[in-house]
Amino acid sequence: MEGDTVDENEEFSVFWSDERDRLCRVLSVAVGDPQLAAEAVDEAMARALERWASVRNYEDPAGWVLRVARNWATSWHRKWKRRPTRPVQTLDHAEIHELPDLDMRDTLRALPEMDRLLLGLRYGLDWPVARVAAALEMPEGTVKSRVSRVLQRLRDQQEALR
Amino acid sequence: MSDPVTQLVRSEVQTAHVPPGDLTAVAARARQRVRRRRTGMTVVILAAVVLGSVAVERVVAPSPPVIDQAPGAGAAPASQPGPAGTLVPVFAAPESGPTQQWSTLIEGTIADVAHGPNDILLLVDGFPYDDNDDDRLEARDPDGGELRWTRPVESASAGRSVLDAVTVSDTLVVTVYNDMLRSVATMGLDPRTGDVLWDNGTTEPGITAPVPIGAGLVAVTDTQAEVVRTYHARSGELAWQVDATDAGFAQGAIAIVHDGELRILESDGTVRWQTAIPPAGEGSHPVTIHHGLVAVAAGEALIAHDVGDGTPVWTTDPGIGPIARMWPVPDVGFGITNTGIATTGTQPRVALLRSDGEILTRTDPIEVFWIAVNTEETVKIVTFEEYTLTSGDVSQSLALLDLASGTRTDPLPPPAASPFGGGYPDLPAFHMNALFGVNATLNANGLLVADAAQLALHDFEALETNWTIQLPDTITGMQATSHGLLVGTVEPDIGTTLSLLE
Repeated sequence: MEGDTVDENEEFSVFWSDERDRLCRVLSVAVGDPQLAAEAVDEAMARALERWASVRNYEDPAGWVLRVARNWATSWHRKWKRRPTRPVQTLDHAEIHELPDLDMRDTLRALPEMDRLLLGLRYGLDWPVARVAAALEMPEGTVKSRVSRVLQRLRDQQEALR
Repeated sequence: MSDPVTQLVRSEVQTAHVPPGDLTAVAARARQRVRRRRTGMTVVILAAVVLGSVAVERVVAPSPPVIDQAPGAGAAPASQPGPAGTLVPVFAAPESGPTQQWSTLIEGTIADVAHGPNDILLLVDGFPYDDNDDDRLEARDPDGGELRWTRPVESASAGRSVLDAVTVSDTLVVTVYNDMLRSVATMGLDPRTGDVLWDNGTTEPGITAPVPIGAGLVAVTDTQAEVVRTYHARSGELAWQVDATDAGFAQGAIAIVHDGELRILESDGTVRWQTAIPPAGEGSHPVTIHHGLVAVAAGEALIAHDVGDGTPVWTTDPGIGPIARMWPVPDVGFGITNTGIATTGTQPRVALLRSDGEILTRTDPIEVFWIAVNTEETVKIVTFEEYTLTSGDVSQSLALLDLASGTRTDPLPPPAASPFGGGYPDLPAFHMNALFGVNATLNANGLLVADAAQLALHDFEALETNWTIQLPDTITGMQATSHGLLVGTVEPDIGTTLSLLE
């Protein structure tokens, strides 16, 4: 039994080394916040380790971690939006300098979070359509059509920028 | 794949900044989750037993009215924010009051405010430690409170107390006060046995708490020498050091200010990027990394850059005067104040900013002696108020100010008796008590106030006394963290009892 635990720990360690950073990268592109992405992936990794005996047998443990991390990050955003705020006093001179919105990179970053995640998984991590579909719990046909539509939109906008 | 759009996607993913991970931290988080789940199941079984020794009574106080923070509200000359780095106690107590997980009698005494900071209660990765006045650091079992090991810590004369501790690379890195705050030592202990793995000797005081920065390193700031030193946690060897008048840390990134420049360093000390920052006049440049931003103060202005590549994100004047301190507010952004080390007579102002630079709120000058933060999207300030009544008597009380909502409680009912005398203790004593978390601390739901043997939670949201519990003896120390509330109680001639409440 103890031997099993040691093996499982080593196995998780390898899994963590293989997957953690790449999941952070793709989620970072999706949520637009590297720190939040890292926190989300680390939280999901902790949950995976907590029940590694089950998760290791899943068809795609990395897909499971990605889904948990994305849900965690999304929940964080939702919680933030719900947050009621009522200033103590009216502020008169807060200045926030907006950065210019310029090129294709900004266009990509302006896509909906799910679109960025789809593109990131499909072309950033080179996951096959079936794996993306399983991880995000959506039909393969939806993944294909949505990726295709987003790509076309980006290409059109690229043309327009020229 | 020659399509420029898919190439761009690939490039974005491959070049995305990734804060370094720490498998040890992930494992610790998983252990905590397992322990919490186990505790949750155990609580139901133990409830009847626990209630036999800890009487739980729900107290509904008269509903105090909620009032808007009035600009220019009367301010008495008193202020004292807590020490940097001790602002986030987040023990989440259940509404019905905490349950005692375990209790154990320990030798010596702890948390004796009469001796100043010569006390410590710590929870590191869920493991409790106490530092008693026999100059021993004691490690306890998190599930039962049994003594796991005890380690004498040298005493130059009048005591030595652990300032803070973290676990990195399977090493308990502690900074230890020596000789009544006149020097500080940094040392590494084996968390399982207490064996000293390394001891870097003493330095002048001014060392900050150790901070893990990734790659098995831990950083401390020597505020007097104005240098950041990083050590290999396992061996204690100096990895690298850098001059810095101000510094802020996050996993995998260190922000330093030196010679008019803000620099972001990697864990190995290499410079990721640097930029010039405006002078701060007579003040310093508090700097904090949070939510993927590095925010640095320069006089009255606050400037934020992307911590990954240095892109300027926003600048703002929060309108509180020269910014002296800044701290990360989980889930929100940044808290700032114009007061560094508080002295009687200063009237600090506090502001709360979101990570996008929007200023959520700021206060007029208030009588802050302790600024507190919790992780539930709000920032609370405990204010000390002192009124002179028409009769000539002086009335002292505590009130809570919620920065996010702008609401303020009526003064909390004064305690009938405290370990420090009738009513609230005089201000300097209370400052010291608050500084060391002795008789008041905060959790995610409210302000915990110890009054003799009674512990009460004053709820932030309902603005009423949520619950009170009666402990067997006088409460002399509390340490609230996300794992629970470690409470020290003392009965004269018998000894000190250490308990963990969850």
